[in-house]
Amino acid sequence: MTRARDVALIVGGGPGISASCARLFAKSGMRVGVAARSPDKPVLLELEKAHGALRYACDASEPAAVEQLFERVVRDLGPPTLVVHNIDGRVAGIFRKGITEADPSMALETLRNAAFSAFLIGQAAARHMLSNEPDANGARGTIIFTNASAALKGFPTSGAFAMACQAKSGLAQSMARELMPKGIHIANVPIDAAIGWTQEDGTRAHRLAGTSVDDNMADPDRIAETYLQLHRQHRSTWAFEVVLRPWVEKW
Amino acid sequence: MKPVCLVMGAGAGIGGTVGRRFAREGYHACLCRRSDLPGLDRLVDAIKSDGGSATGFLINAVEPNSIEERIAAIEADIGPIEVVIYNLGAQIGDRALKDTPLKAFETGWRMGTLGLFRLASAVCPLMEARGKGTILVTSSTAAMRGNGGQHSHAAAMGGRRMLCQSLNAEFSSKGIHVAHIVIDGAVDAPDTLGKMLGPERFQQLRETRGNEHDGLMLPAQIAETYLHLANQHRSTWTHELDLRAFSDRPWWNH
Repeated sequence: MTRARDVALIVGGGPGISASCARLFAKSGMRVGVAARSPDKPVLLELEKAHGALRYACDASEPAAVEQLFERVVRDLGPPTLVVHNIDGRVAGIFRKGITEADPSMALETLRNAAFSAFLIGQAAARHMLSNEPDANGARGTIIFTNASAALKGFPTSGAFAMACQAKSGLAQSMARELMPKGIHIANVPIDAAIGWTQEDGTRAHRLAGTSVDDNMADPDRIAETYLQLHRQHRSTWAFEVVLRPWVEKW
Repeated sequence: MKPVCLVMGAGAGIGGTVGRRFAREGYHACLCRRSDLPGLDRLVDAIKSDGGSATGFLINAVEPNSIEERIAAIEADIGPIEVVIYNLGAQIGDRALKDTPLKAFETGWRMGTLGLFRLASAVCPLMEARGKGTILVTSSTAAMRGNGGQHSHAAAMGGRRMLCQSLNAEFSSKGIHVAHIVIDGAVDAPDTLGKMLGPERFQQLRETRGNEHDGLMLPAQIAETYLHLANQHRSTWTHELDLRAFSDRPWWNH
């Protein structure tokens, strides 16, 4: 079902969902680009070596940088048909800050990194995809926004991130209404759990939540499978919001 | 022995098509519907001609013990039920409150909500003992929003949605994946939409919105997403998912 000319661009590059998507998309025959502020991270070098993924330096909260990113991707790989916005966006100092103590400039920075970048990436992706020819499923392209539990409910001491996540949800809904009838599939995917990615010793773990036991953390390799399925859905039957959580997660 | 995919409400739309898709994956499809034996035989024959295996049953799901006895007999005679597709519809068209008799409301609830409760009561202990199982529940716009004239249907589907959530809360960590699938649009299904509209209007709708326009949801495409849900790894399960045609307006924009 995947076309030879399928081009995937993953924005936000780390060892979790981005890397899993890059590997799965490449194995499925797509040409893959990964954009990150620091494209020289070991995990991205490894993706380039093992899967031919191209690495791009990009601050996705800068309009000019995003425009340039898409120009380079089109030149190197072709017009993107699958774009994944996978940026968390929280700055280190904003974690677990109550509303009375959160630094306003850090809150704004978090919004810029997470939500404003989603707008810029979504806008650029839409501009390019609108001139794609529809594929066998009738789609000109797919834009997937990785989201978080905070898109569904605001947690205490997490105001800035809650704002950013709900902004992304609103953006995704609005884009879906505008672009789905034009043949671009938009999906908002809140991951309602800690993500445990595979470590060098073979275990799966999350930096703060520890080691995954009995699949109690989301496995990014499996998340990528759902992203690929969303991309392959026929236009008569498109999912918009897909929440993913481990079987034992409380919610 | 093949694992069983049990379909409650197996017409020529989502139910029968999903059953056929799972049969292609190696499940024995047990197709249950209330009426139309020739239609049921056609579905079973189609699966067999694909090289799959299937058995058809005519059952009236609102009758006491019908679901329970069928599940017990399938487990005894055919194999372990690994996947259930609960696909009984309860749409009766738009009716003002004064035109919605008590009987219609009650029947809607029996098919929409109570039937799922009875099915879960029968099948969850079996799945729990085996440590795995999947229950995929077809649902609709009415589960999300009570539109005018939908009194019976919205109450039945709203109840279905909440029941799915509480089933998930109890059984997810025991290995049973319960998914509530919101079919937010018209499905290209001759046995449901086709019968509600009549052949002429259905054909007209297909010509204006369906066929190459892809504005009617195609059961074969819906089946791909059902299969994906059943194959999801337990580290990343989806409980609720909305599906609609690209050109359709979602429930929250109506």
